[in-house]
Amino acid sequence: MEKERFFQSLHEFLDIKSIPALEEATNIRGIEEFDSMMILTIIAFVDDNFGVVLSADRLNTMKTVGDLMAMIGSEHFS
Amino acid sequence: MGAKIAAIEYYLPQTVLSNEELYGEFPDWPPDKIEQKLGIRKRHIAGNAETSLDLARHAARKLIDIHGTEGIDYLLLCTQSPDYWLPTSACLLQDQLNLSPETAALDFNLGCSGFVYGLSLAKGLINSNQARKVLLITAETYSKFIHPKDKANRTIFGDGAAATLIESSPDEHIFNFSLGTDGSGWKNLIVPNGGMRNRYDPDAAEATDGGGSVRTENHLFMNGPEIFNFTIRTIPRLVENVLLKNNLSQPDIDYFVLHQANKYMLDYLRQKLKIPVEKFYLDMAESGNTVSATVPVALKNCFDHRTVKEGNLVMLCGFGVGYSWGATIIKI
Repeated sequence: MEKERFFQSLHEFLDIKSIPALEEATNIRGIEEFDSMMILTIIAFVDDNFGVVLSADRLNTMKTVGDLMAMIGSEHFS
Repeated sequence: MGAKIAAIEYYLPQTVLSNEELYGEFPDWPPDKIEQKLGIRKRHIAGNAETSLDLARHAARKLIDIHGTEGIDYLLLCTQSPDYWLPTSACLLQDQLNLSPETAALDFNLGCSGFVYGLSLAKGLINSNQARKVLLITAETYSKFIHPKDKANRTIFGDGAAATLIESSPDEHIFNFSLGTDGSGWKNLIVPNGGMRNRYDPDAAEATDGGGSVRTENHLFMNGPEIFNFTIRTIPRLVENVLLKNNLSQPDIDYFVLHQANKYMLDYLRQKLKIPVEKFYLDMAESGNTVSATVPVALKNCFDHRTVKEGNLVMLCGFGVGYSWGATIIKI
């Protein structure tokens, strides 16, 4: 998936209204809408789009959108 | 010869915990957000002196008031919150319901997969001529395990009990099962203290998780993301397996009743499984996640609202703590 498309799709899927767009450096946990449900939504998004299962332990270490992309695997992005 | 579900009744305790009341305690948790994300408006909570066994008795009496006790020769009670370590709750219930002393009675300890496992046991007992009429009770009070400041679990779980009568029938109405277990997930939904491995600790320290929920090791712990991972990994395979075991395909199924875990999870599973919305039960607004009672509560509502009709094929799936899962197909 192209990075720009990933940022847009994730922004839309997470229903984020407080910031206009996501980028690699965006701190996910700092987003106003962030809560425990958002973690489930991220799991669903990654499962649906990449078929990748993200463990709770790994997700606990995620801070930025870039961290999330690294967990999904760089081979999935262009 | 075969077995069929002859009747279901359920009981929810009188005390209600609304989203508005939760909002009063947790100001970052607005009622509309809870309903939108989890599909729950309220949940029923057992009183301090009210146990799973009490809920079980209420549900069973509702059923017995209509159908009587005549012929009941086996009592199965599924709960994870028994009155005592011993004796077995089902034995107490046999007495409280005045069932014949010729009635076999036992408890089994499962959570959200409990109803499907109970049906599997009941079918086996009937088809092997060990029983003719089985009373299956699924009764749970997770509220007693939850820390008062555990926002997440207090929101999701409600208490309740269902009583289901399964009896012998000229035709088989309970089809083949697919059952499974992955005990490696044991840590992800657990009450760590209070059993024999780790005794109840009156001095257990409070800890707050990333979402602001508070608990101690004496209380229920649920690793939500890992439970979600388990579900999206396991349930599509479970649905496929139970269809294969019955030589059926998905379009043959008239209606799907999955364990009512939460709306978000069920919406995602429905989309992943490509099940049309009109064939999929999703209603936990008035009761929340009542663990082993959600599937029979849903089925009873389906019968009452004529959502399912005679001759329909209905898939039932239960999954959760253990991890444990099971599915079958019933003919109404």
